[in-house]
Amino acid sequence: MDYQTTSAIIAFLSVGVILWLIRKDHLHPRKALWWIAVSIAIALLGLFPKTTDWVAGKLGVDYPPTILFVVAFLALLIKLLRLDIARTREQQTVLILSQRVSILEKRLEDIKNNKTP
Amino acid sequence: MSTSHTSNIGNSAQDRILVVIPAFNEAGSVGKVVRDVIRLTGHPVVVIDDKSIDNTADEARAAGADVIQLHIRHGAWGAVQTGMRYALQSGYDIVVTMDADEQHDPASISELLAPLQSGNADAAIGLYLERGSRLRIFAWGLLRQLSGLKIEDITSGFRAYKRPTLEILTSRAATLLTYQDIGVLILMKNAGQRIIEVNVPMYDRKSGISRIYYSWHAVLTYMSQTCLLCISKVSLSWPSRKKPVANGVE
Repeated sequence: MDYQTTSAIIAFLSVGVILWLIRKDHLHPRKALWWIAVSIAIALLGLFPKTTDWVAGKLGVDYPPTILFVVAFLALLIKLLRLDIARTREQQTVLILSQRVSILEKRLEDIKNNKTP
Repeated sequence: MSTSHTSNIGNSAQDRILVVIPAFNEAGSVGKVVRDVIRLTGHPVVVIDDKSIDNTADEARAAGADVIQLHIRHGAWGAVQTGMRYALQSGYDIVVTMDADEQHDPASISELLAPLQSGNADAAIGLYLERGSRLRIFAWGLLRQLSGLKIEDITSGFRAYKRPTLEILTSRAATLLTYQDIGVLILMKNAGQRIIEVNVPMYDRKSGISRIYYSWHAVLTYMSQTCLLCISKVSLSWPSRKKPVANGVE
């Protein structure tokens, strides 16, 4: 099996897994776009390995596969940072909602007991 | 310091005042605190039960407080913020926050309220510097230097806030804070709020433990998190370095 076939199989499997996750409602389609893009990138770099050599040459990198690892690492780092930002925003929302729910429960209790704040 | 957020209205007896007490497993002391506040001040009290596993909520209710029970443990600041949100919705003008462990003297509430009601400040902080170990005082000094704050007692939970300040402190930006300390002060300072410190007596807590200083790991987490907050939230328009005046307007 050659390099191109391996990359094509990895890309094909990735797309399959992502579509299955969307189908099972485990992944929001908007979030899936990133992973589809990653799969396409794997496929393209596998089918056209000279692209990596060309980019490495332009950037003055002696060993072309290094560029792949660096880009992949940076992409994952950005993705992780974005995940933490999104989690923070969600945490804010959950906390505010939880506070509001507790206040509403108190108001309901007051209404039941004919009490005004 | 004065911006659009700052309110200069100080109309004393007309103000509707709510005392907010955050409580986590304080069944042994919350009842007495609530009774003392009501007896000495006549102000309504709301206890925010931060998902206690004891009878805190029942004790507080029995003592005459309204109780809001949280379903997720929010921590001290989240509980206080819930009380502030409730006060804003219910039309209160001033919120006083105090601990449920008998550290704060309800008789000093009127002293905290005085600068707010006279229009001299937007927030008042109960100051008691005698408390705290050397290490704690060193930590406060470090955090003051990092934040540029001129507040002496940065962790005091005995405070009073006016309505415009409450609106700032219930904003989304204030929701991720963990304690009612430096992050809250920085937020107020950056919004141009006038903060005043008032000397008050404080006593040893009768129940519970400090939510900050209960283990070395907790202290390290608190310090690193708070230092980061100080550095990242520093105002780009640096204020003039004026010495704080206890019982005076900054």
